[in-house]
Amino acid sequence: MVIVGESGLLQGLLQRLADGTPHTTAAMGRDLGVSAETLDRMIGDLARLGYLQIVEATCPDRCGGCPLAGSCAVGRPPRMWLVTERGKRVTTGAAG
Amino acid sequence: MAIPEPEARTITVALAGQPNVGKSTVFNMLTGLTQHVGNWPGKTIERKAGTCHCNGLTLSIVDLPGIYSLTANSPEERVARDFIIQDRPDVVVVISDAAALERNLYLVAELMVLPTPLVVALNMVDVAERAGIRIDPQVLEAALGVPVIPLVASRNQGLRELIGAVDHLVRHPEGYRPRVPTIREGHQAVMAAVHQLIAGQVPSSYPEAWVAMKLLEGDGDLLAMMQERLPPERWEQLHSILKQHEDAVLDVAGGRYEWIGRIVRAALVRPRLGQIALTDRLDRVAAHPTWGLILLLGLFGVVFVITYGIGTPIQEWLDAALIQGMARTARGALAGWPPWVAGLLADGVIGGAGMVLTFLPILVIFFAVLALLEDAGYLARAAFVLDRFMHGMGLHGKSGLPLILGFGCNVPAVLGARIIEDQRARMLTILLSPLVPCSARLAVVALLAPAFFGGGATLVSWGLVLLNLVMLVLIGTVVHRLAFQGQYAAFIMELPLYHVPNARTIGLAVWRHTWAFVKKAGGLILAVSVAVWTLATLPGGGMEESFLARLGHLLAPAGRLMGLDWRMMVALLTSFLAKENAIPTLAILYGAADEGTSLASLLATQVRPAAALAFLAMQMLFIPCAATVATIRSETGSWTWTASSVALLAVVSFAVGIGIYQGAVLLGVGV
Repeated sequence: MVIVGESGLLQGLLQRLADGTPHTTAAMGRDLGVSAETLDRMIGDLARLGYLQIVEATCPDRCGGCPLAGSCAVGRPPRMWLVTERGKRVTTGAAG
Repeated sequence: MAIPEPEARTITVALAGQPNVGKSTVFNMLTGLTQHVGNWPGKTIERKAGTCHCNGLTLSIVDLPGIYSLTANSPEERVARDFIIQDRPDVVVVISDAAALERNLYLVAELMVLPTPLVVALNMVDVAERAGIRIDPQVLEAALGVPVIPLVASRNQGLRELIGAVDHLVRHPEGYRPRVPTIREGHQAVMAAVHQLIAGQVPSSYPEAWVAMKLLEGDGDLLAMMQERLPPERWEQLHSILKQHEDAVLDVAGGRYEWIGRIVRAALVRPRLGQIALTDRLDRVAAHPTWGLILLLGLFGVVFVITYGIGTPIQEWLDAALIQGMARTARGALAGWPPWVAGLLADGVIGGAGMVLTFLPILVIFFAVLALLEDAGYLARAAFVLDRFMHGMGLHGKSGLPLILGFGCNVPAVLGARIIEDQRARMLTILLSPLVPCSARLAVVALLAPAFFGGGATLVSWGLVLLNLVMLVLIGTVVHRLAFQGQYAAFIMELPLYHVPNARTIGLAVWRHTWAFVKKAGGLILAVSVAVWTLATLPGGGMEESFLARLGHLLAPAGRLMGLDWRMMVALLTSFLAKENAIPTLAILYGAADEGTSLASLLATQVRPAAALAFLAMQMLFIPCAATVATIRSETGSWTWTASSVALLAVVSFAVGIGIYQGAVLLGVGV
């Protein structure tokens, strides 16, 4: 499925996420043909605009000062973004 | 007499750019001692301005705050865009980091559509060159349609050329033809409609086309401005169009990203070697849905092979030389004392808590290998692959992240479930958290598997980890169907680059884990050892008559279904306080110090393999430690949910334990 060129890079990113499988930023960048830097910015834009939502462990300052940091297997948990309802509407073509 | 030259015009130059691109260096180099610092009117943001006399020109230079875009997301962005739009400098110089040009181009794309001409100053080209990044300024200039000047501002290289470019632009504005990004086709007609609605109603300093585009992007400040200025009927029309096309922002921003892509492809060559390329190559396997899982399971196997290969011989030596020796010495030294004193010290303290300490080498190696994988960046991949695996079973997204945290400790996994807004889904995720094999459970397996299975310990340990994951997925699938009704939660995860592990980081991680274990051994484990020895001794007349034996015999019927005697059942019970308590309990109840034989030899001769496997499987799936149970109670605020979690795990662990043993009986293997 060719996404970029038909509906734009940002929509393309949301549509690829909509397949429901987990993605890494590196693989997504490759698929869309953009660098990690641009993808990072695109994700930031989509998050700021309400199409993605960042998911983080609730620790406000991540591992800093956390007494459980030593026992946390993944150390600093990887950053992760979920597609919001607004994002899903774009992929289903419900929005204008 | 010389005729005085007419006073040269002062050129106003605004320096724009993202933070940390060397903007202040350029400003300092150009203005030197002439700069004056104050605040922007009505703001607490620093305003720096100065004058530059160079090439016979006078430049009034204003250093704008560092910004990423012109979308009024922050006070800095408001200040910068208001200055450019309302004060109309003659030229905007965009300082860009040559080593991160792509990141800087978004701001260039935004500034380009404004009427003020731009010069792109490509700073730190030396750093970019050292990093292997090649940018052809002439190609970039042709692609952008604006002057591009390479700089190394810190060494005063290129600044004279920069001033020359500014001067040329002011003298020959007709030659300025920027190749601006355009909104994607899908919303061009909408933008034209918006433009038409606001025509003649925008303050004169604001370019109408730019305002129309920003309105499509949902710019709050400009929306408020237009609401004030437009007649109500026209505002209603505008509002309706913007609401109907609220996703037009994707086409506006998407147009910029595609423009950036074109510019980068034309003018920039990046090295494909180094960390990023290596990470990409490794991740093709490590983050692959199938190969990644195989690699993860393989690495778990390697972790156990290394741990047992090096750690177990040291543990056996410590057990024989240290514990048996110390127990003998203690009995000899306390020969004249009441027998219970020698028994308590030799069997309870040395044979119990002391025995646990002999396992330190195994733990040190185990934690060192895990820390090495973590510091190299692999564990984040493991988390991703597992999440992907869970996704395949319908359990993923928000419930996946807390569960991944559980590999370190179940407590943060339970706490991590706070990210799930839906109450029912959160409760069910908490319910599942203890099924993730935490490092304490893994450590107990790492300690006991060699004692039970000797050379087969690696395979058994590996199989137990797999068992936990399978149980997690099986139960998780059911729970997900109940909690999320099969909804998916699409997500994207950022994985760190791989890098060479740092010895100090690994050392600190091992020290933290080891010290925590030693403290536990000197506190809770010691207390449990003394309590177990006391209850196994009183009221006298031998262990089989002891209070502990009476308690153990109550559990014996359940134990018999798994081939476990009362001592093993008591060990299971004491592991509720802390998983590691199973070891001193077994050591005391099997009389390792008393018999003068190692715990491993005693267990190998007294516990049949099928029963040992059932016991270890129960350890992996049994009720979580007291700290996790307490956290479940505090996070759910419900005793019912806490009891449900405990009951679920008790039922699952007993079912699996019974299944393993009875299966072995049926097959006639290991019984």
